[in-house]
Amino acid sequence: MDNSGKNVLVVGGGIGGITAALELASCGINVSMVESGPSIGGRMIQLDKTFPTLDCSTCTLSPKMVEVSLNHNIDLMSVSQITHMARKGPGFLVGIKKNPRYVDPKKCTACGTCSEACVMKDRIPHEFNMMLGKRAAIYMPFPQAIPQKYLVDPERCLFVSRGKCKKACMDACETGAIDFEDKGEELEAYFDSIVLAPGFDVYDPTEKQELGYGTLPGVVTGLEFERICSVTGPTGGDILLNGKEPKRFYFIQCVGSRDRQSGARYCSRVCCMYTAKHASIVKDRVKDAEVYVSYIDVRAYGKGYDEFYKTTQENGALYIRGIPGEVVEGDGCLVVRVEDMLTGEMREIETDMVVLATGVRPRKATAELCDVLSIECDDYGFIKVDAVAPSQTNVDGIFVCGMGSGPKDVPDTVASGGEAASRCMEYIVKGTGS
Amino acid sequence: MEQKIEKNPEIVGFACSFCTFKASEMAGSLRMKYPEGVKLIQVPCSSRVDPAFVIKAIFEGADGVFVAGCHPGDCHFIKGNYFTRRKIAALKEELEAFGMKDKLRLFWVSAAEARRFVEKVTEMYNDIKEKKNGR
Amino acid sequence: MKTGIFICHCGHNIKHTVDVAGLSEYFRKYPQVTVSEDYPFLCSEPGQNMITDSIEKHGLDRVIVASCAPSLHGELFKDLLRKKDVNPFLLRRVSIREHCSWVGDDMEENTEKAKRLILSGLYGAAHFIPLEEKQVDVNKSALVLGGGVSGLSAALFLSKMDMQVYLVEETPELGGRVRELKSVWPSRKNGADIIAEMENELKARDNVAIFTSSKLTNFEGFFGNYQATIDTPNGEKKVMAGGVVVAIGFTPFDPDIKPELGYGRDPRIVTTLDLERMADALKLPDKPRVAVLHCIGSRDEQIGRPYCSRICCINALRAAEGIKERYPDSYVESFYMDMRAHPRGGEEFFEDTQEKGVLFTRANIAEIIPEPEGVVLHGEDTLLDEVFERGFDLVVLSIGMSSPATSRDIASLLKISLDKDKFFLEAHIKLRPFDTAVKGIFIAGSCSGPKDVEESISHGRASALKLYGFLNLGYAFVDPFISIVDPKRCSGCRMCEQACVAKAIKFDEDKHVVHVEEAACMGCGLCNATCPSSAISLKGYVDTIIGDEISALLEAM
Repeated sequence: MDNSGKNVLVVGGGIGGITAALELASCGINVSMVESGPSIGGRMIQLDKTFPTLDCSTCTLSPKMVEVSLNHNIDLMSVSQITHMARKGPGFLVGIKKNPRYVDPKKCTACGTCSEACVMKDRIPHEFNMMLGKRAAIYMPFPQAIPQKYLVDPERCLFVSRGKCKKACMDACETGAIDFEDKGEELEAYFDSIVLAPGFDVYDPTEKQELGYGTLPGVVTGLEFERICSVTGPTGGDILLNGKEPKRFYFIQCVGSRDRQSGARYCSRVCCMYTAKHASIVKDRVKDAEVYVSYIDVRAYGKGYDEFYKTTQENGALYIRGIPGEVVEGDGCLVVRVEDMLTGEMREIETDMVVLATGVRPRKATAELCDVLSIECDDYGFIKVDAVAPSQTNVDGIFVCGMGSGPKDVPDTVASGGEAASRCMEYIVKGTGS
Repeated sequence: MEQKIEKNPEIVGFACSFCTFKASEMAGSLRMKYPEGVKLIQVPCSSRVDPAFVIKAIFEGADGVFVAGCHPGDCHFIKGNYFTRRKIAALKEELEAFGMKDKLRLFWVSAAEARRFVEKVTEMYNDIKEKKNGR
Repeated sequence: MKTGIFICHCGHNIKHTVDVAGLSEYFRKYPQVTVSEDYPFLCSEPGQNMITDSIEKHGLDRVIVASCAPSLHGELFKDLLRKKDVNPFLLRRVSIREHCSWVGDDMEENTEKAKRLILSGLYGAAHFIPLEEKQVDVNKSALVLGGGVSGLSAALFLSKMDMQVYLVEETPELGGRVRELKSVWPSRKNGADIIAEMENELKARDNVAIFTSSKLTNFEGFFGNYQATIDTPNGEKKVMAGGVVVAIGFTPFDPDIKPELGYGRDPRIVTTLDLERMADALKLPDKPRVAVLHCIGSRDEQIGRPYCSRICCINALRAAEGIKERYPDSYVESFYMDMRAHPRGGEEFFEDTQEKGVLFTRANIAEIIPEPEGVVLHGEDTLLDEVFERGFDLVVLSIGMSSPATSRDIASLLKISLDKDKFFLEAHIKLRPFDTAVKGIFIAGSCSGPKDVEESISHGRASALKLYGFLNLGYAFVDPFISIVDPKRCSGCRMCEQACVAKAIKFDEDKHVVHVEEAACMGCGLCNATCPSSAISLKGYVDTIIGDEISALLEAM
C-alpha cells in the first residue's frame, strides 16, 4: 500500500502526539506536528520518574523526541497554533500560525551565551519548572528540548515588549542567530486527517484556602514537586525547601478530583500512583524521611501498580484514610489536621512539606481549539469520543488521543495514540477509496 | 595484631539474552540490590557457553562462575538449555575431580523472575564468601 | 583502532552511585582509547550529537556506550554510527545502570564494577568486525490469535490495510467475553451487537480467513516469514505469516480457588458473570437483600493473585445498580477495599449508584456461609472497626481476571515470555507495551494484563498498527548474528550438525566440511560451544570476544 502523498496533522507534542506521529510516519504518512510550546515532550518530560517502575522519564521519552525531530516524514512546528479550519472534501484546510522565536533555528547552535548575557537573566519565573526557579528572556525551555533551539519570550523580553533594551544577547551570539525582525509565518495547508493530542493542565488549588497553597511556605502541587525532584529542575534534583532538606512530608490525594466543589466529579486517575511514586522517591532520597499519605481510595489499578503501592507502604510510607480538613502554620513547621477514618481519631500531624496531589483539567487552549474545529466536548471540557472507537470525535476524520479525551496514565496514552493513528490510517484509506 | 581483611569473592555469570539477562535487567529496574562482586556476560543462549569459558574464568581468578538460562522447555532456541544442562553436569564432574566443584553453578531464571535472579546470585555469593573467609 | 567511550550519567540515575567523571578520566589512559567522555543524557539530542561529532572528529571505528540496558533505545545508538558511515555493529553497549548503579549502593564498589564492565566492553569490541544486515522479503500477512474484541479489532485493521489475515479462535464462536455482556459500560451498548458489527464487517472482507474451533499447533520461522500450523475442524492448515498478534484474552477468576466463598455450594452465591448470563431469569424474593463483593480473586496474595483486575469495581457497581433498578425496594450493600472507579464516567457512576440507595461498606469478608434463612457474610468493617454477620438473599462475587488458560502453551509455541502472573510479558511497559522479545510477535488486549472493553479495542488496534508498520515496507532486516564456518579448521566431525536444533548445518561430502544455512540459523551459538576444532563461530559472540570479556571482568587493577 503506497501511503506517500498523504498528510496528517497532529496537534500537540506530548507522549500522545509523539506516539501517533511516529506510528503514522512509520507507515509512510507525511505528518505535520503543531506544538504550542517551544518544545515537544509535554507533561511527561516534566516528570522525574514514571510509575510503577520508577523509570527515568527523560530516558524513556527523550529518544522518541529525537526520533520525531530526525524523522523525514515529520515536519515539526513549535511555538505554533491552529488559527482556522474548513472542511475540504474528506479532509481539512487548516490555517497554522508559527509564532516568531526571534532566533533563526538554522543558525542557533544552542550554546547559551545569549541567555547568560540577557539583562533579565534569573528574573523570569520558569514555566517549565512550574514557575519555580528563574530564567532569562531568551532561553532554552530545558536541556533536552526538541527543537534544541533558544527562543525569546515576547512578553517578558524588554526589547520585544517595550523596545527598550541594549540587546546584549545579539552581541553575545556568535552566529548572528537572533533576529528581532522575525514575524513568524502563517500558512494554510490541506490535511487528509487530524489527530488531536492536546494534553492537560493541572488544577490550581489556590481556591482551597484551607490547604494553604500560595499562602503557606512548603505547600506545593504534585507537578511542582516533580520539578523539585528532577535533576533538570530548580534545585538540581535535591529535595529542598528554601535551601534546606525537609525531613517530614505529607501527601494529600484527590485535590481537585472527585470533588463537586471544584467542578470535577471525575477521578484524575494518575494521582494515587504519582503520590506513591513521590513517597518512594522521598524515602529513597531523603534519609530518615517521615512520609504520610492521605487518601480516600487508592487507585492502583494498572499492571504492577498494586504491587508498587504495597512496596511503597513496606518502605515506610504511612497511609491515612481521610482527607485533611486544613493545613496550618505550626512552630517552625506545618500542621496537618486530619480525621483518621480507620481509627476514628482527629490527628494533628507536624510536617515540613505538604504536596497536594492536584488533579487534571482540560487545557483552556483545548476549548478554543474545539471551537475552531467544531468538536464536541463533555461538561468538563474533555473531548467526547465514541465508546467503541475511543479516538473518534464527532467530526469524521478528526481523532483524539491522550488526556484530551479524559484522564489517562502514560501506558494508556501510548495505547490511545496508537489507536488514534490506526483509525486515522483507516480513514485516509477509505477517503481515497483504495 | 593485624586486622583480618574481609575477602570479597569475584563471581562471573553467563546470562542468556532472552531469560536471565532480561530478569537481571528487571532486577535493576526494580532497584533490587545484590553484591557488586557479581558481574554478567550476556550470551544469546546458555548453550553458547563453552566449558572452556568456565575454566578460563576460574583460571583468571573468579571465585565462582554461574551459567543461567531459561527454564527447561522455555528456551527461546527450543532446546539449547538441554545441551547446557548436560555440558555443565559433565563439567561439574571434572571440576569435582580437581576439588573445585563449588566454583560452578547452573540455574534457570525466566524473564519475569527478577527476584529469583537476585536470590540465586546473592546466595551463591554469600556461600562462596563464607568459604573464602574460612567460615 | 580508534575507540570512543561515552559514559552516561542518566540524570542522577547512574551518577548518584557511580563516579562517571572519574570513569571517563580513567579510560583516557588506555592507548587504544582515543576519546573518553561522560554526559548527563546520551540519548538526548545534544548527547547524540556529542557522539556523532566525536566519531567524525576522531575517525572512531569502535564506539562504547556505557549507559542503560542494551534493550533500551534499540537502533538509536546504532543509527549514530550509520550516520557517520561506521558499521553499526562496531558499537558496544555496556549496561552500568540496570546492572550496576541501580543494583548497588556503595559508590566506590559500584564504580569499580562499572570500570570492569566498561573494560569488558572495550576488550570485547576490539574483536568486533563489521557485520551486514541481510534484507529479506516479508509476507504481508498476519496471524491473529484470539477472536475476542481485541483480536477482532486487530484483524479488521490489518485487513483494511491490505494484509492477509488469518484469525484463529479456539471456541466455536467469535466475540470472546464481550459477546455475553448485555450492557457494555460506559456506552451501555449490547456486547453481542458490538461483536456482530465487527464480525459482519470482517466476514465481508476477502482477505480474511477465519478459523473457529481451531488452535495453533506448530510455529516456526523468523520475522516476516513465520510458518504456522493450525488444527481446524477441516484438518490441518499451514499458513505463512509475516507477524502475529496474540489476543487470547483472559480467564474469569474461578471462585472455587477460595472455598471460603462458598461458591458452587449454594445457588444464592453467584459471580458477576453468572448474573450477566442469568439476566432476566434472575428471580429474587420481595424486598431482597443483596450483597456485592469487590476484589474476588484480586489483590489477594494468599492465592497468588496480588494484582488488581482493574474492571471489577465497575462490574460490581453495574451489578449493584442493576439489582436496585429491577428491585427498587431491595437492600443492596457493596463490600469493597478501595473503590477503583477510575474509568471515564466511573466516579460519577459511583456517586449516582450511592444516590440510588446502594450502601457501600469498606470491609474484609472472611467467610460466606449459606444458611437456610440467608447467606451469611462474616466480615470486618474497616471504618467502624467492628466485626459483623449479615444475611443476604443473594451474594454477587465481582470476580477478577486471571491469565488466559492457554498462555503457557502459546508462550511455548511462539517463544515469548510470561510475567509473574502468567499474562504475556511486554518488551517494555512504557516504551514498547505491544512488543514482545521476539520480533514480529505482538500482544494485545487483556492477555497482557486486565483491561476493559474500550482499552482492549485500543490495544488491539495499536498492536496491529505496530505490526503493519513493520510489514508495510515489504522487507525487513535480519540480525547478522548467525554462525559461520572456517573450512580450513573444520575437520568434518559433524558434531555441530548433530547438535544444531534448527537443522541449519549441512555437510558437504566432497569438501568434507560443514556450512551454515543462513536463513535457518537461529543464532544460539550451540555449535560454537560444541565444535572441538574452533572452526564454527557465532558472529558477534566469537570465542575471542567472550574470552577477553572474561579477562576484563577479572583483571587485577
